[in-house]
Amino acid sequence: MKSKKILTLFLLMVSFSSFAEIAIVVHPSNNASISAEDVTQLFLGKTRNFPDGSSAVPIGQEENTEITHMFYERVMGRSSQQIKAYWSKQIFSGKGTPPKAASNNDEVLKLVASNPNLIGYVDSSKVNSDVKVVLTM
Amino acid sequence: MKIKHLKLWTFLPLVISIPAYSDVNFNGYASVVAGQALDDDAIFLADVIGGGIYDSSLSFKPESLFALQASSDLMDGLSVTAQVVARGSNDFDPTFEWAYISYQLTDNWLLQAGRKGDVFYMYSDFRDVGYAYNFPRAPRAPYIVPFNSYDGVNAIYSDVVGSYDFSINTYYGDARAESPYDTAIVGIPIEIETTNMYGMVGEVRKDWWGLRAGVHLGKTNLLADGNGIANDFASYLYVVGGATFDYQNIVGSIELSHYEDDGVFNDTFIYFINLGYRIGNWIPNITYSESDEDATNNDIIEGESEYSILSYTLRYDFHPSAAFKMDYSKYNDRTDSSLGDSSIFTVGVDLVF
Repeated sequence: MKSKKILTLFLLMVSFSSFAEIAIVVHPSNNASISAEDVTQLFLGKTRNFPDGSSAVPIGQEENTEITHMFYERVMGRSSQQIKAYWSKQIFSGKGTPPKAASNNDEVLKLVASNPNLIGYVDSSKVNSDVKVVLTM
Repeated sequence: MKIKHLKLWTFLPLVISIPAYSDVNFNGYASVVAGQALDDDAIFLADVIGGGIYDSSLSFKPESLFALQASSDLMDGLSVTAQVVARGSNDFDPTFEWAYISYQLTDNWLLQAGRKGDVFYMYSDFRDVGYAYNFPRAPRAPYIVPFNSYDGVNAIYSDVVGSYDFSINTYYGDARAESPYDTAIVGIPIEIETTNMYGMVGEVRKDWWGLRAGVHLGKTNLLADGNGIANDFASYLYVVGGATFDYQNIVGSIELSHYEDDGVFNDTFIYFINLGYRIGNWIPNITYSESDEDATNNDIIEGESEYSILSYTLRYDFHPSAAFKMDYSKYNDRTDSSLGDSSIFTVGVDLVF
């Protein structure tokens, strides 16, 4: 029994450490300085531009994933339920639609690397040189 | 606009055949709610739009509903949206309640035209989306206005200044709908018709709180069995103010409204307050709403409509897309209207998809 507990604890630690940090990534040519608040406003559809005025398109990841939950909680300071309730209000009252979602970290990296207008979030351990990290949380 | 005899499953093959990369997006919401009035011979109006009324026998119909929204992005800022709602109170007859086009003129200006949700109050244009709020149903006071939509145009200007984001919505249009509340009191179909309606709603939001203020003007007419009986296009004026907050684990909202017209409903003051506390996935909350109406006596609409409703609700988010709600509500009629006091108990699930 004891060894099982230790194993569980170990697995828990591994799964936490695998998403130790969230990296906010943009195209390497993007020189805007971006705060967590800017990211939040972009991902809530409140703004459509980077702080330097250029057009910004947020790209999320699938909803019920650990990385998305962490992004909501750490960067946006909101729970998944709060975000879900917010978008249900926006969608059905005709005020906006949520960002499109990529299916995993690699897809976000690929999309962001090929489009200067995109901004996304990935597991910081997956970041490669094709993108630029503007914020790590 | 109403398509009868077309059941909701008519749309199912449509949903399934749309490939994932299509430009048509489907979203939906649903509520399945069972409830009953706890006293014999008592009735409780729960769905103001569809006229869903609980009586002393257990029923799923008054508040259960299914809605499907299709929206297509036509590129360059243009999009089309339609919402079909099937209400239990209307035998789940699917009705196109909304259909409108939107045009994102600039980063700040959004123009919309067609049949769209009314914006009298804070929760008006998503009052059927139970998942989006903690109370069991939009409080009857002030959400007694029987319109779920109006035909017209509106322009929304929105922007972010520092950490504040704000928007101003200006609209113009007209609407006509049966008022289940008045119909229940009077016993014959009462309709409210509104023309030349226009108004402006401003909202400011920051992190954990939001403020909203609105002014609405227009002309209103009251019909019984299709014939004008009162008001005769009297001018009305609504002044509405509201706030929402979600701080630490305390959540709530408050809204006040003053209505007056130069017809039969001279002066009405309505408000509600909702307060809840989040404990993990649970949000127990209380809602109190009250209406004080000073109406000129009229042959058909008698006396005043003064009442209060107190609701004790427990919300439990048992799934990322679904919330369970259990509610006990007590309606206190302060006049001798035919509705009388009543209390209800409901259990249901609200979901979005």
